[in-house]
Amino acid sequence: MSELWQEGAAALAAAVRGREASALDVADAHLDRALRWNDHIEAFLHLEPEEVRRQAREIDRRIAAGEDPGPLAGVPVALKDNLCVRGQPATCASRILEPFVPPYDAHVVERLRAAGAVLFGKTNLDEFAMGSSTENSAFGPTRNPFDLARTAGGSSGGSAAAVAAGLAPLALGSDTGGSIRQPAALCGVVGMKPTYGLVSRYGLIAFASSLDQIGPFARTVDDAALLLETIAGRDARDATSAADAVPDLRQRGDLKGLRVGVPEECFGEGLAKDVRALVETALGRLKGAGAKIVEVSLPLSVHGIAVYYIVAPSEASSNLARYDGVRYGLRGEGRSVEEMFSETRGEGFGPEVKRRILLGTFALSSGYYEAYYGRAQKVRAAMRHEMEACFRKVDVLASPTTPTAAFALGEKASDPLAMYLSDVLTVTANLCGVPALSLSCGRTAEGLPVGLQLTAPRFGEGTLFRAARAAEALLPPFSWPPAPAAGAERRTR
Amino acid sequence: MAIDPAEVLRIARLARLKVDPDEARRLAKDLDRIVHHIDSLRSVKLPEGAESLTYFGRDVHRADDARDCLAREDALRNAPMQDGEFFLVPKIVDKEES
Amino acid sequence: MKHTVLVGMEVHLQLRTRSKMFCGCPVRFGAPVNTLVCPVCLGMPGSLPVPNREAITMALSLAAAMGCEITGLTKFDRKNYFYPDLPKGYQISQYDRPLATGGGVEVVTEAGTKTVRLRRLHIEEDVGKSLHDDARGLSRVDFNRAGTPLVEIVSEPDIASPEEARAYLNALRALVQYLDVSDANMQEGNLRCEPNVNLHIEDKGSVVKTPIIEVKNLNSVRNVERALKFEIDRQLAEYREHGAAVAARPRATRGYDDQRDQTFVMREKEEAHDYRYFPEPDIPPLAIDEAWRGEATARVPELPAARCRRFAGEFGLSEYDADVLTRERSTADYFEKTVAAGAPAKPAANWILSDLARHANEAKKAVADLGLAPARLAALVNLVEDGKVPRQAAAKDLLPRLLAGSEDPGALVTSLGLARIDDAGRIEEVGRRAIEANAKAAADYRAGRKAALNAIKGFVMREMKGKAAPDVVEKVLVRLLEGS
Repeated sequence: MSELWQEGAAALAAAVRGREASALDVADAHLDRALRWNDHIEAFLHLEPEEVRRQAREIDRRIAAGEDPGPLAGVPVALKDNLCVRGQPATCASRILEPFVPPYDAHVVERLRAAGAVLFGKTNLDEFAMGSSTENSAFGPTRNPFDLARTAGGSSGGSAAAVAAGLAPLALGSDTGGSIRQPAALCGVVGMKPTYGLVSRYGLIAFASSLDQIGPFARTVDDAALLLETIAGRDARDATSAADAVPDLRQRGDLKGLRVGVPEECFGEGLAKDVRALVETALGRLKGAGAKIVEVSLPLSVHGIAVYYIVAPSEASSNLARYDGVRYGLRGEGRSVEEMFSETRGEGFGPEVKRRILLGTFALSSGYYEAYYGRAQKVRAAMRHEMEACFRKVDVLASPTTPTAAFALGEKASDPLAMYLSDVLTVTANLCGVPALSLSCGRTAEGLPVGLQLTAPRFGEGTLFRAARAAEALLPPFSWPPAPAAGAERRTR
Repeated sequence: MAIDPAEVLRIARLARLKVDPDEARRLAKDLDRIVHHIDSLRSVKLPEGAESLTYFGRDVHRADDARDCLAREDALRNAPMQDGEFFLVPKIVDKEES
Repeated sequence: MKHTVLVGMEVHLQLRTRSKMFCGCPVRFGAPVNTLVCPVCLGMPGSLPVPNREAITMALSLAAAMGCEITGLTKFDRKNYFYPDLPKGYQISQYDRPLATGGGVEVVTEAGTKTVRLRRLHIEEDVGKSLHDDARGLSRVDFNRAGTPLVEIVSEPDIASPEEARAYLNALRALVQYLDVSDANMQEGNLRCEPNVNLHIEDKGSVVKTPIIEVKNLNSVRNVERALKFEIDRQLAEYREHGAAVAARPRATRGYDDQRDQTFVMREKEEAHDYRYFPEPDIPPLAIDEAWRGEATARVPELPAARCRRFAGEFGLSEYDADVLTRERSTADYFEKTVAAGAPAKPAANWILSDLARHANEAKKAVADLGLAPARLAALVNLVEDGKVPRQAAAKDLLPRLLAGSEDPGALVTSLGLARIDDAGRIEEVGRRAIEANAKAAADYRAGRKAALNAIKGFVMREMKGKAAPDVVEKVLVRLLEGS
């Protein structure tokens, strides 16, 4: 057996359940690596080794007592720091929530505990999941394990980097406009956004309620399916959680006859040459394996960014109104309560969050509602119809996940619009509520991973995972990032 | 729609965000570019009476069953200021209730 | 100069569900502060609302009872504003698809019966409570009430006087009590109302409309009436002073100060009305199908107005008695059960409206909660009607015993010696003494002043502790006086 941190989740769970390795050994192997790597990549905001070991020892105790802790027995799972774990901080990488300790577990956390997983720290993100690079974290950016000068992507950059660097075999993120798939692509791992409603949002600190979904990160499609299986399904505490049966995620099969739609809009201007080349190579391999490549068009998808940057900030402006310094979190000074509100929010939120709150407040304000929010939701409905019509012709869609490979830290930080435009290929899935998965389709000449995005109809996760498994077998396998040079640790923390 | 610093300050008041004049100028520039981009939606032709999309589901409700609440100390634990019973805030100057 | 008063009413009613509108915390008045709270109603990050079906059914039954048109598809919206007792920075309410629209409430005043039309009825969540009087210059917030289900009922400005406003609120209160959907108690705050009022003043051939004033801080029906009276006078005075120019003034909100019995200007923020409503993305829309509507409609009992008409017709009661009997559902039910247990209707109504009402008033209870089973009241009524026990004695001696214990009314009559005496011999004996003791009255009677008999009769009744049969007493006395 190779080193424990190199193993996938399924293998680790099997080893722990089969008493070939203890959960504590698994935890220690990952802790050891995480504590060394985190100085370089800043994937974790909080990681309490003793708390991790306590959970692992409990798993070992149950196994010794003859119990089966579940399908993720002893498997470390890192959580994006916008998911609530009772008694642990949930900062959303924001000053305003820095002091907040939730008194309850998110639904997905309950599911993980019930499956025997070991909750493995809280990962970095763009503040309130608003961003595409984790540069908007109030606590500093996460770095790409493949090139420390570059972004790991965002907003779930910490989760993606942790899985890519072998600090955890699995992680959860949240995806509102690409926040799982984009960092997965930039870090060379599998990241997946489920159908809206498949996973309960209870305990996910909201960014944009009609778009947010929690989803898995893993190094293989199988492991991603294992994690999704654990967290999917109806939860009575989330009214948007769907009653539909959870699709069978274990389907296997070849690509023969699978109709793969390739939207022409996803290969337009702004797509980097090296990304295009790798994706086209991947599509060629799918075709070679029997898939039927179909050129399709989604003309409305070009408006995705505009719709997204109305809907998401509007919902966010309201979702973030609760941070007022009364019941939890930071409180600013103020002689009157009104002053306190403005001070708290002015101090507590970073620049990007403020921008989006203002944008959303504007879009909803009297006189502008119809022109912005009202119109955006109508275009969104039309986009969904267009997508549904497309899925009558094809089984899945394939495209690049991002227009470029990982960009340099600081490159887009001063240009919010340029940063927004990097979500162009991912927002459509959120707006239409459909599932989408990113898997690595190779590396650029600079050694940077590139993602292939597969999209399926609502509740089409069965087909999506089957296609992803088949594609994975045809594409270059995951490879580890090089060990960071000694002395390259960030000195700031 | 052009966004100037005065408009930023108006929205910031609505959103209870303290924004200083320098920040307002920067934000106005950013927001103006973003709004210019999202204004492209005006060119999208929509049929008369086009529907909106906010929801994917329908008809979810719960039975009227009461269950346990948080213990008071857990409810108050995260409060920046509390007296063991109440959440405390700076004086509320005037009452505006809905 | 002539003026018309236009009052519209916005009423918030707390629904009497077991749990809150969007979470499982119990709905209860008077619990220790901040003990009926959870992550959802505290607006903690990551928590989500799930609507309480029962609250919606209650609101639907109320809408059905008022003849509103119920929507086929309803949804929730967020009303965004900041206030320390508003946990999420928005209130979940309903904006453009309220549960119901139209309908009306029948209102009875001395001027007659009219229908106040309704504009809309929707569901929302209540906010917490802030206390502003902290000595340290701080305000204190309790979230127990936050998330309690509310129904908001908005009327058209059909109410034409403070008296009608009172009658409207009373009618609404009777209605919700009949439906058993709210305690509708203004003191406890489970019924709150904000009237808006303005005048159309006809003067010198033109009509001037005074600006609409919304009045807040009203905690009793009486204060609503007083505040409206004040406000009407104030608007008239303002018109007399400034003339038609008042019409150009903006709508405003005024608070009511019940110590001074006057309204005062409330400062309003410039952005006060930009609530930025948008569809609540956490709660999918709800279809109100036939079955659900039917379930709600089936809960609507015979309503006060109809029941009053039926009581008058079926039992031959006066309009007045029927109205008073049907104001509270429990009293009307109690009356009907008493009749069903064999009591004749009119005397039963009389007992309930006079004697029992007095006891109920003293005990601050409803008649039905006094502890006298309808069957026992029926037995009491029949004892009196059958002449077994005099009315007065029954009310004075028998009723208190019946209320205090569980003894059988008939047995009590015997054990207390309350049975009516109609033995003419015994009565004649007392009658003779009465005539002697009231010589002047006897002389007056014989001189033709028949009313003088009452004094002698009263003496006999007193002597016999009210147990003598009045008709026998009268017969005996007449015989004694006229016969000798």
